[in-house]
Amino acid sequence: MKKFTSLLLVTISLLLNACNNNNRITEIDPSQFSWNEIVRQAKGEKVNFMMWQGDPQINKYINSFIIPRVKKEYGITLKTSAGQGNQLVSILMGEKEAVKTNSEIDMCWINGETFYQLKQIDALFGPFVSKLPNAALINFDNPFIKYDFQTPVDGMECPWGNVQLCIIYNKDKVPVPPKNMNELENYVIQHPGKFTIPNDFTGLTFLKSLLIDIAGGRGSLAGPFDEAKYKNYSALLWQYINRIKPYLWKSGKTFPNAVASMHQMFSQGELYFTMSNNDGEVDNKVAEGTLPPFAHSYVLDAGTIQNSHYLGITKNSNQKAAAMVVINFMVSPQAQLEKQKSTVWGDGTVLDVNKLSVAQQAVFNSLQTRQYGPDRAAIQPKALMELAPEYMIRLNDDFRKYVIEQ
Amino acid sequence: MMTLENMLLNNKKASFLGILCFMLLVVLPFAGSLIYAILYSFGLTGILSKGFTTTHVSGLLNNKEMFFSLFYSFYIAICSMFISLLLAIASVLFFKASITKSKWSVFPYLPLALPAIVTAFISLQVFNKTGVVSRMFYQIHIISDLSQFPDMVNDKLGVGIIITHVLMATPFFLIFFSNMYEAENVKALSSVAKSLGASSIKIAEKIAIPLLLKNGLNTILLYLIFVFGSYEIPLILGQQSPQMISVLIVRKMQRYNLMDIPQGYFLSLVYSIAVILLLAVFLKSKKQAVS
Repeated sequence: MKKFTSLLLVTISLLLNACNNNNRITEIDPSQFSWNEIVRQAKGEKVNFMMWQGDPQINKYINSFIIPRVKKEYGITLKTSAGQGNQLVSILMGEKEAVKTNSEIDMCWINGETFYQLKQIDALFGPFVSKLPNAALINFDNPFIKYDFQTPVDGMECPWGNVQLCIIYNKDKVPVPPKNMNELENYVIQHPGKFTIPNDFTGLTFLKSLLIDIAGGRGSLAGPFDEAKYKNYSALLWQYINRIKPYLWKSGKTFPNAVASMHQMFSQGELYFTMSNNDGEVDNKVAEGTLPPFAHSYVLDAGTIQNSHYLGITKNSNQKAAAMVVINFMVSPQAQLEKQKSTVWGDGTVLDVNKLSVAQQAVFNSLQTRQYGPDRAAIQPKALMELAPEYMIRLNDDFRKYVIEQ
Repeated sequence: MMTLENMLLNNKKASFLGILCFMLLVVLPFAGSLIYAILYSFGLTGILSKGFTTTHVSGLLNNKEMFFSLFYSFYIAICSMFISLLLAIASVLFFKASITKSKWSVFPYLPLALPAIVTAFISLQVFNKTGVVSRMFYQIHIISDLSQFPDMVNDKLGVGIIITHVLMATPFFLIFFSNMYEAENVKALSSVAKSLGASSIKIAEKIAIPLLLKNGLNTILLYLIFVFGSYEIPLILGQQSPQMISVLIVRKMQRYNLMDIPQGYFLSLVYSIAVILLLAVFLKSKKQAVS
């Protein structure tokens, strides 16, 4: 019986030990250290980076450019793991609920809605951005970078890239794409089954762009969430979507669950339109062979949402110094330049090119112009600011309630 | 030398150890998860919890979505299993189990090697409006435009989901029933019945099918539960509404509104209770049948 009792005790102690996470915590207050000291502390450390890995080109950029460089220049081993907004939030919530004090994730790729959620659960470390030497080169005068979903970033996340929603169309089948909501409605009615809206982040960004247009255009929904405005204008939006619904893909009885499946149907000719949150994606995807050369992109006359994506450090990371060094490198001119190449990723830079050296400016300006997507400077006047996060949450719920389930 | 008393004592110890391991490794974590789900559903735990509330649960109960989802999952599971069992048993009876002994015997194993997500993508490529089947129909002029091809994926009736589950389940049951056909000596029993004047249909109806179904009932039920809770296949091939229960749970757990998470936990609870009830009804009816 003694043996069984011992076994029971060992098993219970193993279980308890698994729940006990009071491991080493490295609390860093960036203001207490010089940058050189942070770099010195970071050497030899391992950083876990959770990122969206749905695009092979982006993965390639991280694996073949960022990872070897940070290893060579700073001695940091950067490990990536797959996960985006919701998964990231779930993991960090789970860790907090389990009172885990050393997070499995050190740094993460954040978009606006995730920033909002991570702030809700107090899972971000910072402010840290002002400590990064390369932060001085970031264009914080640009409101599309300075604010994330109407919220000042306040150094809690570092801008990494900047993109604008574009509609991708089949140039062979659609010689003149619809430029506003009326033209889109007419086109969809005349060409049933060729247009749809993905039920994901990209689709919601498209709906937000339409909502701003309905509300009166640029700035009409700026500021904190306004219930009265939302109710008023979203009702008009759902009326519009329900008018075109019978003429959407599969007669509007269902919607693609992600933009990736829309890209596929677009390439096979089932759809004439798809969309992308990245205005540079069409060139990148055509070069890659994922989209056919008939794919071209544009933005609606009333404008589309432009937003930035960011890099954050988790509050319970014990590799904060190393994560800061990695992030500093990822916003360096060489890393940003590589990322902006359409053959690499085609992601817009967050740097103020005017702050760079003449030689660096020349290289940035010499980047190949877009062949399939609109010129960045040309669509900038049509860029709309992201709305407060509550608009996205409500649109997500109401798109299901008033359109999908109708 | 070991006495009978010692042997009995050792057996008792081994049995106690087995029960202890089962309790620690299976019952305890499962019970813990259920309790956690109850607490989360009613706002009694979670970092965003503000104390006891029935808002999350009543929000779900007042919405038809959960009930549609459960019914839809059950419908998919029943249809998939019915077609798979029909095909598997018919094949076993037709080929007299020789299918797993012939030179083609490797083929039923191939679909089993594919993960569900891969099979779902294959179905998507084959059965969508611009997929392989649609293009073949277009080439042989059955349809004059690809858009005329019927909706077989992301469709209301879940045809794509059912086909994919059938593609996965049929080979499994084919192998399973073929082995059982051999083990239960169905061939010999059929010969006896035939010599007594029974027709092939009567043999199938009265001997082979009842024998195979009765002995395979546990596996059939477990596979039904597996299909009921499947995730990847309905995620790729299903509609946005209604969604199968696992897809709905993940949507509630991992969308933009963190306040939906308690609803996700409550759905998990409902799903677990549904599965437990299903097993309880099965075990009770089995016990009654035995007694």
